[in-house]
Amino acid sequence: MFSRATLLVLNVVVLAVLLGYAIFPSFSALKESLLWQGDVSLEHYRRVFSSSRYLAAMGNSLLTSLLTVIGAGALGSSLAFLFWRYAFAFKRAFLQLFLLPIGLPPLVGAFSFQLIYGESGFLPRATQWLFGLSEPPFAFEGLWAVLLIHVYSFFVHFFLFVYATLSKTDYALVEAARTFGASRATAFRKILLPLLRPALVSASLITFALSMASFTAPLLFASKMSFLTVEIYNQKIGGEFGIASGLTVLLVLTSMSLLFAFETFGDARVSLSRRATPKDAPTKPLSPFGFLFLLGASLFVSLPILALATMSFSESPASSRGVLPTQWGVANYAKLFGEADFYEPFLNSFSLSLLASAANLLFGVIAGTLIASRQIALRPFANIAFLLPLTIPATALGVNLIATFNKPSFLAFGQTLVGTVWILPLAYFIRHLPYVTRSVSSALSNFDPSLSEAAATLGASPARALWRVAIPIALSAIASGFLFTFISAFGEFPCSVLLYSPDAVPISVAIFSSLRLGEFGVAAAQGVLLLLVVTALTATAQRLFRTNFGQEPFGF
Amino acid sequence: MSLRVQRLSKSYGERLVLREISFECARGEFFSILGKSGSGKTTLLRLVAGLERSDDGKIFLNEKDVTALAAHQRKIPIVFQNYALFPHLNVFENVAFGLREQKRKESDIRATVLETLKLLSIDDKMYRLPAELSGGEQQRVAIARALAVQAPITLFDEPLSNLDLDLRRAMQKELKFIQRQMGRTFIYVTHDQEEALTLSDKLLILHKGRACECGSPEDIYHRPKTLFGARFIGSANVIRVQVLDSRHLKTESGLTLAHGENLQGKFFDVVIRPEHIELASGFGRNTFRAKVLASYFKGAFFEHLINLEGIELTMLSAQPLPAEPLVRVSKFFIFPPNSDRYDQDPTH
Repeated sequence: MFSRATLLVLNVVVLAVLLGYAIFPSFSALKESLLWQGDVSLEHYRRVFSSSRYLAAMGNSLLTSLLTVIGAGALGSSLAFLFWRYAFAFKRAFLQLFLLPIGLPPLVGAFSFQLIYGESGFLPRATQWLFGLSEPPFAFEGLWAVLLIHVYSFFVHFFLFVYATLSKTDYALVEAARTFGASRATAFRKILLPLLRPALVSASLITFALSMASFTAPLLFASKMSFLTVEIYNQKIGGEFGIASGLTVLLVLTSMSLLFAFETFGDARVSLSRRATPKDAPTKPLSPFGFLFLLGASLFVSLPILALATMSFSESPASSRGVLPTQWGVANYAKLFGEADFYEPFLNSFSLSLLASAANLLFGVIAGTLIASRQIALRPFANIAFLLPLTIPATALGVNLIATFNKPSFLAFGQTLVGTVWILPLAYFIRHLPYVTRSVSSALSNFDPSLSEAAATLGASPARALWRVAIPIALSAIASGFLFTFISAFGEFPCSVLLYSPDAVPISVAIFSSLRLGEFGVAAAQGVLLLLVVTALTATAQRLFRTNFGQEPFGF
Repeated sequence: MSLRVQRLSKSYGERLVLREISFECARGEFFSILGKSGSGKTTLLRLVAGLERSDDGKIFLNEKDVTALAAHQRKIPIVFQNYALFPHLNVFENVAFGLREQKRKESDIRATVLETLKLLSIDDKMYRLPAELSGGEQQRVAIARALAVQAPITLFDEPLSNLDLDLRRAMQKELKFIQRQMGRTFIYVTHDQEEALTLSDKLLILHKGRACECGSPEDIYHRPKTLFGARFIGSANVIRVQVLDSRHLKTESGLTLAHGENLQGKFFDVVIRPEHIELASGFGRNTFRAKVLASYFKGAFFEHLINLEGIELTMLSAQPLPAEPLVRVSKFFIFPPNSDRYDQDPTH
């Protein structure tokens, strides 16, 4: 396919990018954490492990992640069972509703929660008004707040993994167990649960890792408590870069071991049935209890977005607000479209993400083709290097990049990148390194060779077959990889807030500033607009995937 | 001749897949290649299409030597087992694919595609993508795509094997009808002997890379040349015998069969078709007293498992049988022993 010289050049480029940008920055942070006043020392780690503050941060992060797994698991799995076993109206619409949190940028999600459950949120104020209290009776704070947001953001993983497994399960297995006298509970415990194990393990590992890496929710809601990611951010801001690096190394090690465990044990694609057409579970009408549960879950998922939309039209100052805003209008949107300070961040994010995803596109097409055609050099090394960006939490990546690029670096052609507009596209590029690569390599390796043969027997020369069949099919995979990269970079917050330059403030950081200034209305309008952009692009990407490959709109 | 294949051989490394295959297929013929999986039938089809290169031998298309031509130069369309529909093109464009390669006029393409889609009753799904069609509909599109280019021959690689039984039967009839009506030459690979018998004007039976029978289905049924062919087409009782004298063969259990052939050797395999064991009215040549072990009602006839002097055989009858009927073996075929087991070593 490629000449030897081209192959060599392409491999050198791909491996150099992996080595320089995916692996080297991690070692910079490691080096930084091991240096104490110019000497190699474990002093930073000694300090970390002898400080009750850092130990508490680690404990809180671990505890929250564990509780998140339990909460998200309970909600996601129950919903999956509900969809599997019960018939109800508007099932597809409900499905789309429960997939909503995937597309929600974390910052927007966390902020919406504040609007509902926060100190001046709709719910506490409504309670206060209802019972005539002088103060809002509760405010949403600390570990429980973080936990609730995590459950909201991550239950989807359980929902999708469990639902996918259940719908592939042969219900005849359950019926067989019942004919042998197994009670409903026994059939569940002895048949369904073992079949669901891989799905549950996968979803738990992913949720735990995401929850450990979560930055936005603890930053916004746990001012009195300490979390690992927030501690890293605070230490970096406070100039304790060695400590920040040490904590980063610990966080990366935790996430890495979890995600490697996922790759090893978490294969959800066990063969569930030897039957070509598994028997579908018969559905029954929804019970009153099931209906209430569905209603509650729908409210839980849609309330934050409704709150966000409501708030974006509010013109009352936060302090004088009742349960609902008293003054309504489109002033926030007018600001967004009329004032440079407010619309520029959108344009900035657009350029920054476009630059990054274009680089991802170029790199991903080259690397994906090399992988699919098995012409990549140093394959085991490349495999691990491609996994690395997925295992490094965003906050950690930010710190790694600061450690690497806060001085002139040969990786930046002798420039200092920190403080310039170039560091953010680089960060986005590294975070999304595997996306286009994976979609290209899987599209090419799943390419059915009989399609080329069919084209040949119909008279198409190899060049014509490539042009009319292989390229159009690969294109939609490339386009969806590109779109997903762009979407994810557009709303990215943790890296952005660590690395942004005042010359090009990205939209997520702009929303964060509005929040800090108490400009909830503007922040909400910014959030709504961000959400609209992301949703429109996600819908486009889903469409591209579905129509061209006949795949389910979601699935693993 | 539409297609003539001469002493075609193919091996993958050490493994010989096809050994000196020769056959001819006349214009307008429905020609089937029948064999079990691993017999080399799909490889033979791919050699004809030009998707594989033979190690030895020649292929003539309309008396022109095409052995050296690549698939896109031969332009012999295949209906693939997995259909191989282009997932990014709709039904119309899938069928138009080959016509566009021929650089035909747009109006001409449209007319041909529409006509072919109508013929296969799939013209109402013209703008669907393959993923939006059922298996049977995808099948029709794959057939339409191959027929639309109007090639001298069309190849089919087990095209109906993914359909359920009812649909398969219906499609068989339809394919045969289309082939007759359009006067096309079809070369059809299948492992299903009933399908091959139903459809074919001519049959080639492959076994372990060799052609063991070639002829009309009636020919092969009534005059099989090999033990494998005799067993593969229709049902057969096979018994091991040894030569008793120049006119008689004898089984180990003592059953003696009279024959009129000139045999060389000591051991043979005898094939008796169930319908060649008939109820006899009195003793005579090859007539024996049988014991009925089991009887099965099959609707139009009965099938029986009988014991004939120590040998268990299957026979058919129009009426129920008495417990110990007198039966006559009216016809049988004699083959050299183990002749359906070719040498494992391909070099011999």
